[in-house]
Amino acid sequence: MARRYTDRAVRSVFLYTREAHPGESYRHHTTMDQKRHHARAFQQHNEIKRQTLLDDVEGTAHRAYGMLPNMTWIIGRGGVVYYRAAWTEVRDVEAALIETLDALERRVSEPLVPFHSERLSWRVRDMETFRRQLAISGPQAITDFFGPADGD
Amino acid sequence: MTPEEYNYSVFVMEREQPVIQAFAENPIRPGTRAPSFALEDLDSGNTVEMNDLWRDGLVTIEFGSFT
Repeated sequence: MARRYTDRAVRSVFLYTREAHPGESYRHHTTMDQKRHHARAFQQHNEIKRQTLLDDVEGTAHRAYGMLPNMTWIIGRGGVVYYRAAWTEVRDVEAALIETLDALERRVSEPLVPFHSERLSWRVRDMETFRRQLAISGPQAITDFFGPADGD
Repeated sequence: MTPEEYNYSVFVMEREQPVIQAFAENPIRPGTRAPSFALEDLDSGNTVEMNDLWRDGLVTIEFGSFT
């Protein structure tokens, strides 16, 4: 999605935070070097082309913005927040981005004023994919989330 | 919140609900001004101020981690 909007002056970045589901392979962060190492592994595994940024080990930026594990925000000139989502769902982000770009272009010639709007969005809960993702972190991550397997 | 509390070593489901609730009540929301913090660019190691990200137009910022 990020590449589709670069010609409309939209920048897209990934901000690497704490490990949401630490495990044997990707432990909780105690140093910036460790956080960088995990972020590089993530970048390579997922072939991330976007600029990847890190906040400090204390999570200063992540905590200020709400500390959820996979938020997306759309912010414009002057720091105006146009969109925030508790979870990243590409279709939802793209819809918000298109609407925001459209409004910013139209307001040059139309008397547009913004208003606040809230709604619930929806995503598919794909537990198999999620379990495979947890497995990358290690068995602990699976046990912490799903509980011990039968027989453990 | 201490760095150890922030970087928990064990995921505990019961900790999630208060975070979700706090997000709903977070004063940074559409229509407000986003705060800027110093970040580090993973590739270059350079410091990036968040307000440089939105200086020239819109920016989408996805927060996340490998796990």
